Amino acid sequence: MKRFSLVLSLLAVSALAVAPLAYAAKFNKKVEIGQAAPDFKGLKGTDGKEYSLDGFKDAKALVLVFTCNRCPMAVAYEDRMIDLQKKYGEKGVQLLAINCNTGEGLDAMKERADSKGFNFPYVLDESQQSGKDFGATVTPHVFILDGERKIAYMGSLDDNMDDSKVQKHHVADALAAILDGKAPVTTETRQFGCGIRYQ
Amino acid sequence: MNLKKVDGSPFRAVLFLTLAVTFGCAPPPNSRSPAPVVRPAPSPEVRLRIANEKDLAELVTAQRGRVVLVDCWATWCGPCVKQFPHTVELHRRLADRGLTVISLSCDDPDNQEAVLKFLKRQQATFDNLLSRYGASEEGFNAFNIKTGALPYYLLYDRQGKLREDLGSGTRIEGLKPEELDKAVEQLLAEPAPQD
Repeated sequence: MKRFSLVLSLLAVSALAVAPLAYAAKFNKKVEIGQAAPDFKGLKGTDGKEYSLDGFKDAKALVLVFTCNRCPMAVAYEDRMIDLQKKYGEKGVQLLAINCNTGEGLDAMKERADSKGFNFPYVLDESQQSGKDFGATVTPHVFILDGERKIAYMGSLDDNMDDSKVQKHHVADALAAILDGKAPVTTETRQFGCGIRYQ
Repeated sequence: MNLKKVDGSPFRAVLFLTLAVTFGCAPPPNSRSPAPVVRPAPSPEVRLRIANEKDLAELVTAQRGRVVLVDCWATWCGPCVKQFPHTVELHRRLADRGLTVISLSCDDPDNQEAVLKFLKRQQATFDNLLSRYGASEEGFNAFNIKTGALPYYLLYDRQGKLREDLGSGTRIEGLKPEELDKAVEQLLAEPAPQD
């Protein structure tokens, strides 16, 4: 009987050993919280510059927002993105908007950035690779990278398309935690918006 | 028209008007072949009600024995608006074979007038729901719209079991209407519950 218990215990311990220790993402099939952010390079901005992940070395946190020109949900969040950059930019946070939708183009994006007065870079990823690597599925879809460029939060910017009805400020809360040297309490939420269509 | 000018008495004026309205456009009393009165069938009214996930579940349960298609959509969603006529067409074509269609708008409840206007234009004469949560994370979670993107279709079999959830996902071509038709046809071909 003792031997049987020992075998059972060993089995239990080995089951634990092979169990995945990493946090399994609930709404993302590609990346997990805590993992190093996938790299991206040479994405063309509406300001004529090129942007890469390693070009933001000074940022205490990097907020990537996969967005686009046409999706009404993404458009509804533009002012909130501007506000975030305004509020957290002076605290060392940088927002980067990435468009990996097909058929919009840099000219249309430039027009959008100018007319809205984007205070953050707005880049085009024609290859769609960054969106694929991050598992971005909708616009807007947000990823916060901490100081070590690990994924600290992913999901929606907040919980309502109508900004007058927002109750949970996911991204603002996560940034506040990161700037305070803590891990965000909420690390993943369900992203919602317009589906990104990949070639 | 000044009624007093007819003969100075308002009562007589009303009588005159009543007679004129009653007989003015009627065929002559002795006409040999009176034109048959053709009344168009009253068109069912298009209604919209604000609902939560419990209301939707109750509606689906009440349809046991029928296949239920729930079209989750929104006026702000271009592909949804484009595909909505197809949902209306499925209702018209397959209701007799046992398909019940329900629409679930993920618009903000403040926009219900615009939603109803769209549904009327589409002649969506089935059950139309408007998510009480609007276009929010809570709504996408409550109705389990897994992709977080619309349009999204929930398909229940004749036993009332959720069998398919279809969305465009991230495919370049989106969700083809034929795919939806095929899924609906497959469930319609299944036998109804015996009890």
